[in-house]
Amino acid sequence: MSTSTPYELPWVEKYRPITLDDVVGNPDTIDRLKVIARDGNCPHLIISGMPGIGKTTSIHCLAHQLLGDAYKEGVLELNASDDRGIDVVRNKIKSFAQKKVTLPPGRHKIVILDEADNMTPGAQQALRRTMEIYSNTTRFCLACNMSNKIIEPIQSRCAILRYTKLKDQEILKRLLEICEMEKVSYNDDGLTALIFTSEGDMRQAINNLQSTHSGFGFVSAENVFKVCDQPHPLVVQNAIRSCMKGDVDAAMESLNDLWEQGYSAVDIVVTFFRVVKTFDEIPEYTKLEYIKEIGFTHMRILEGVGSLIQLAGLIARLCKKNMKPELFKV
Amino acid sequence: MAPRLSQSSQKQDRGYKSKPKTVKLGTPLISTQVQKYDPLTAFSLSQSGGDELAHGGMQKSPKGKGKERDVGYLSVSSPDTDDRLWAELPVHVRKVEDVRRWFHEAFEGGPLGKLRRYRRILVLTGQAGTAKTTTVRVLGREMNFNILEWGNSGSDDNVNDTSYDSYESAFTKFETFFNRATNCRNLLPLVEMSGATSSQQSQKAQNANSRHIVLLEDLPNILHSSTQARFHATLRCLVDRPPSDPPVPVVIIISDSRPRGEAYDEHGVYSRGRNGDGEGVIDIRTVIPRDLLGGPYVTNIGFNPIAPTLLRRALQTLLSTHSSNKDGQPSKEVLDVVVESANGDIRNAIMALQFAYTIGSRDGKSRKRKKGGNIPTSMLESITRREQSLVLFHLLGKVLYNKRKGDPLSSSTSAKDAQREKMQELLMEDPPSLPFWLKEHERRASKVDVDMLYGNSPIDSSLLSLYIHQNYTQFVDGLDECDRIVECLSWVDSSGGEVWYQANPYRFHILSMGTLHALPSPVTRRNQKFIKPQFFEYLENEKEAWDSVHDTRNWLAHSANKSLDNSWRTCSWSGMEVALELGGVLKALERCHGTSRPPRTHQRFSRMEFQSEQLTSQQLTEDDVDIEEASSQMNDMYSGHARGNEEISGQWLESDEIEEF
Repeated sequence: MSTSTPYELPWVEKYRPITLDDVVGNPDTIDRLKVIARDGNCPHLIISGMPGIGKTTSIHCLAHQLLGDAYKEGVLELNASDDRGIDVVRNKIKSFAQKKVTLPPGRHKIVILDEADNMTPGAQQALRRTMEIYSNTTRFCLACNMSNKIIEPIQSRCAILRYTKLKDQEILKRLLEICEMEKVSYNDDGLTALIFTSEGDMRQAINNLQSTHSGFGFVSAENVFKVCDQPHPLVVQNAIRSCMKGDVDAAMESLNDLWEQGYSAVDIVVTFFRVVKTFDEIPEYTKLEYIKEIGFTHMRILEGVGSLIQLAGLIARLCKKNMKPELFKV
Repeated sequence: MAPRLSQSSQKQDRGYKSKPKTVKLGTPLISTQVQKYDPLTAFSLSQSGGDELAHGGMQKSPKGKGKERDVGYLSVSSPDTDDRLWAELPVHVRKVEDVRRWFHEAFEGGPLGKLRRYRRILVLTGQAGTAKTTTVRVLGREMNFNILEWGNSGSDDNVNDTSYDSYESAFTKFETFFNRATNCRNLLPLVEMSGATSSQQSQKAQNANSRHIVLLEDLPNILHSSTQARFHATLRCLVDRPPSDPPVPVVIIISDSRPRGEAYDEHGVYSRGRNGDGEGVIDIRTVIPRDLLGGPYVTNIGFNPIAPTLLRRALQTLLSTHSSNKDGQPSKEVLDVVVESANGDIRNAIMALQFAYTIGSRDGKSRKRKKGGNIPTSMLESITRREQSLVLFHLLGKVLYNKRKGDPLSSSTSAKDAQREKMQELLMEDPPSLPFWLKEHERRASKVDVDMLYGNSPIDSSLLSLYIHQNYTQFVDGLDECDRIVECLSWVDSSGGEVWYQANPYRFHILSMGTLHALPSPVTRRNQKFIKPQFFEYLENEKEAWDSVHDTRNWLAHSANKSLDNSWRTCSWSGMEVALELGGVLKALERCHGTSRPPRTHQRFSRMEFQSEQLTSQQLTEDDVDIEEASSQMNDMYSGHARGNEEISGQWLESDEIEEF
């Protein structure tokens, strides 16, 4: 039903915001960007934050609003898939900076460097002088996940904007809008599940929404978890509840259940972590101890022992945490 | 619009320049009268004088300004470092004096005329945005020398030109530029001839025999080892030649990138310690060969972060000269935030100011009334914050003060706040209780939302763990609590492993929850102050000590080779053995006036002194120079002058001087 046209865009692209007004989250920072877009006085920018929170999108929106029709000539975009060694910085960026483009008055050419934290330190060093020399005609906008991977001299030349994780309500609002426009049928559990699985990443939330919709036609919690191929948090919650009661058998039953559905050890352990850190029924101390154990097991799994016995060991240790110490005395 | 503006300001620049020209330049003994008109010292010596100068120098016709206000502001604080506008250099006078003296000695040769030989390379180091380049430029104007700057240009012309004969690598170009620039008397035609080098000259060469310096800021790709080797060779070559006449000193500017508290920093140190090769870091050790660095030809002057008082003054001057009406100006609070969060980085401060200013302009008038004339600080913070700024401060406070439900309120909270706290506490649910055998771990409900902290954290968890490690002792009451925190820190360190250095999702939670759990509740308030981790200083010290161990080993091997029978024994000594066994011997050698002395750097590992912690620790937010302190430093500038001279000359010169006679 969703495939009315054979060449449908992914919804992430289809509903990518075009103006800054549509960008979700970080209202203060976006407000500031809007002022820049109106005034045209764009400083060098670094936008940093987790994946899927609208860094690249807001830079694009800003560039569109600043340059309008001249966007094509006035913007040079380079991301990690492009070669960005020293030569590119020296040649491509420089020749772009030297290029003459007719722009609206008071506007500047914009160089967008996406995933700038992946640039080699050498390339970043080469960039810093370029930024200064051509700053009267060209402005740089950098997007990155970790701003501390950008060398200090460049940070010093830019205004740094840090985007925070999107709030659940913000994602929910956008999801509802898309559901409205795409006529998706859903229930509340389904949307909650989408938000849980996305962990503040809008891109993932929308992708999951689309896949659930085109796969099942209805967005419910079960369908979402089937599509995302993640263990159902309710099952995990039950397992943890049993652990807290010290009921090894019941906890193992839930675990076996998940294991037989074919989930990998990493999937299971990641879901354990996500559930534990937001689970209200666990007292603080127990939560801390549980996270320690889960982290430890995760590490072992990453080192290559992703077997059921590791997970069973985790369950056993979690159970032991809440049992009387006398029981273990021989 | 823009060109007109720059033209007009150029004109003023010339007018402004003419003032210092009347001053007799380069005299080591600066009379106070001269200082009054000197743009650099006047600023800090007499505030009013500096201001006058600034206003006089940069006044614009009010007509043009009113119309082009927005654009004007942009060009003022636009990212290109417009040194004209920074004429009131916010650098400590003594620092400027050091640099000025160096140039003076390089050109004139100091009191005896001998120093010229040793003033070949000046290395300016310091954090980004501490006005290193600007200092050189301003001095260039004051002392009337031209600056030849190397820029790594694009090799556009090579793209069309496919013949291999004419191809020269980027480094060859650099070499050519460098050799010509440092040798040749008349540089202008040469530089223009080699079109590939986009070197820029300040257009002030009225008289042909004016002096030049070479400024290297955009270095060749030092991170590539063979390029680095060639660069080093070029520098050695320069130093070996006698200075040309007139001398062309070389200034190299290196912005340090401080280590960022990530796991690989530590790695870098160890690999450098063992292999003598650091990766991915450009610092003074990678740029300057080690033998030169310890030698007489290279002088290193480190720039400190700009003191908040100086920074504020500079920003205020900038504002008062460049925004036309008081209306559009950011308020004092905004300025405070900018200064505080800039961390001594003036470029960043100006950027932030500009960013903050945009809201005050154009649409500002209607909006500003509503907001009561200032931009919410939260918004500013979100723009200007960098590591080690306010947010980090808040984050640490949240974790280390460990606020929980039912904490007694501090005496300073107002009734309104107390009311609000109460309401919040009512909303909070009590946590589920622990079984009786775990009662000792029971805590009241925490007011800290760890997930929220994680989302907003400006730093990654390894840096946070360093901060907590540095600061936790102030917040605990007993050894048991220490034990629990250290246990948690150690768990955090060990739970990472090689598998996920960067993105261990558990670290942050274990760290913050573990600390919260371990701390007493409520935390006793005893005026705790957050301190920056000393880890990096020690790392730096260790790095230097390792370097000196290497030097000493080389010296050992070298001198042992002279007496052949012992060489097999000493050459096989490892760095560790040198460090551990030789301390006493080296000290003794220092005392006796034999012919072969060990390199002086050995003191870094053979004479380790105890430091009192108070001296080295830096407080997190308020590490500023007070005005009194600054002025007292200015007062003893002259004594500092003499002392500094001694320091720089050091041992090398004394002995060399004798040889020459």
